[in-house]
Formats: sequence, C-alpha cells, structure tokens
Amino acid sequence: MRFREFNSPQDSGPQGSQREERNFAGVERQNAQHLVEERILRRIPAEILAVSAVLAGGALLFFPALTSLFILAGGAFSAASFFWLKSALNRFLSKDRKKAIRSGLVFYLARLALLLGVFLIIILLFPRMVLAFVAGFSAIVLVFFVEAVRALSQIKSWKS
Amino acid sequence: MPPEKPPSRRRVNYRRLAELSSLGLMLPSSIAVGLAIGYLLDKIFGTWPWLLATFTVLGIVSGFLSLIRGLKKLGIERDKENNEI
Repeated sequence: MRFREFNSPQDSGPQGSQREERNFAGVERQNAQHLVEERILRRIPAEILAVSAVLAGGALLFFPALTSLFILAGGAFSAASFFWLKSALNRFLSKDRKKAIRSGLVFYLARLALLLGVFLIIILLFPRMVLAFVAGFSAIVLVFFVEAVRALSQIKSWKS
Repeated sequence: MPPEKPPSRRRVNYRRLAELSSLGLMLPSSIAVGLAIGYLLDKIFGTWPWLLATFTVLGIVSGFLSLIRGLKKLGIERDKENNEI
C-alpha cells in the first residue's frame, strides 16, 4: 500500500522528491538498526563462552579442575544452543515458514533428545557436577544482563 | 482521549531484541528451576539422584514448550507487522 503511494503520479514535483528522500532515509535507518541488532546477536555466543571461561577460572581457585571443565562445557553448550536458536528463528521468520516449521519440528525433537541425553548422562555418571554444568549453562543470563545494561546506557546517551 | 502515538522504530527494534533475549533465557531458566527443585527434594527425601533427574527432565520439557510458544507468538506478531506495512 505504502509502495503504491510512493510511486503514484502525485509524487512528482518537490513534495514527491521530499517524500522519496524521507522514505529512503527511513529504509537506511532501518537497515542500520538491523545491523546493530545483528551485531549484538552475533557477539552473544562469544560472550557466553568468555563469561563461562571466567567462571571456570574462578572455580579453579576453590574447586577441583573437573568442576571448571563442566562449567566450561555448560557455557559451550549454552553458546551452541543460542546460536541454534538464532538460526532457527531466522528460518522461522522467513517467507517459507511452512517448510521451516516442518524441518524445525524434527530439529526441535532431536535437540530435545540431545539435551535430555546430556543432562541424564551427567546426572547418572557425575551427579555432583550437574550444578557446575548448569552454572555454565546459565552464563547466558549474565550475558543478557550485561547486554541489557549496555543497550540502556546507549539509549540514555542518545537522549542526552 | 488523545490517540495513542505509535512507538518509534528504534523502540520497536529494541523491543524485538528484548523478545529474542527472553526466548534465549527461557530454556536455561526453566532447566535451572527444575534442577533446583529436584536437588532440594532429593536432599529432603534422600532419593539422590532420582528426583533431580525427574525435575531436570521436566524443566527441559517445559523450557522447550515455552520456547515453541514464544516462537509462535513472535511469528504472529511479525505477520501483523508485515500486514500493517
């Protein structure tokens, strides 16, 4: 609808070119914001790994090395999980959603089985280590908190 | 009453980022809650590690269900936005 308005014969003349410039600026701004969003989403898995590495390093001071290893493994699992979520979401929100749902459902079930398997193996073989694994897995919470604070501080700087 | 002002594009984008973040947090938080409940119940009843395993499984399954629900909601909202444009 907006596209038709944009191309209508009424748009010729100075008013039309102004509207054209405004639309172009709007599209450019939208693209820039998508890039910012994409950059934030791309750096989150790396940040999860970094936070879990820091947690694992800290745990080395108080607990055995195996605990640190499980924290690191939990962080890696969480980063992979977020990366998968992002790619699944991109596929799900694309035009061909019906196809994405069909393939996504199989992928969901496979991932559910993988998660259940990993947790059950850890619980049955290393029951005490499951807390360390979940601590690493929850590094994503800290990362989102940091990102939220950063985004809020940017909004504040735009306003001032 | 004055008509409601539409939110700015920047605000809308940050809202979408927040929605994505909440989707990412759904799974780890429900697993952590299930695990904590199982751990505490195991400590109380001395059934280590069966309640821990059961509640962790329940946490994973509920996390997945809420993830799917959130994805569906996000898809519906995206459809609405596309229709408005």
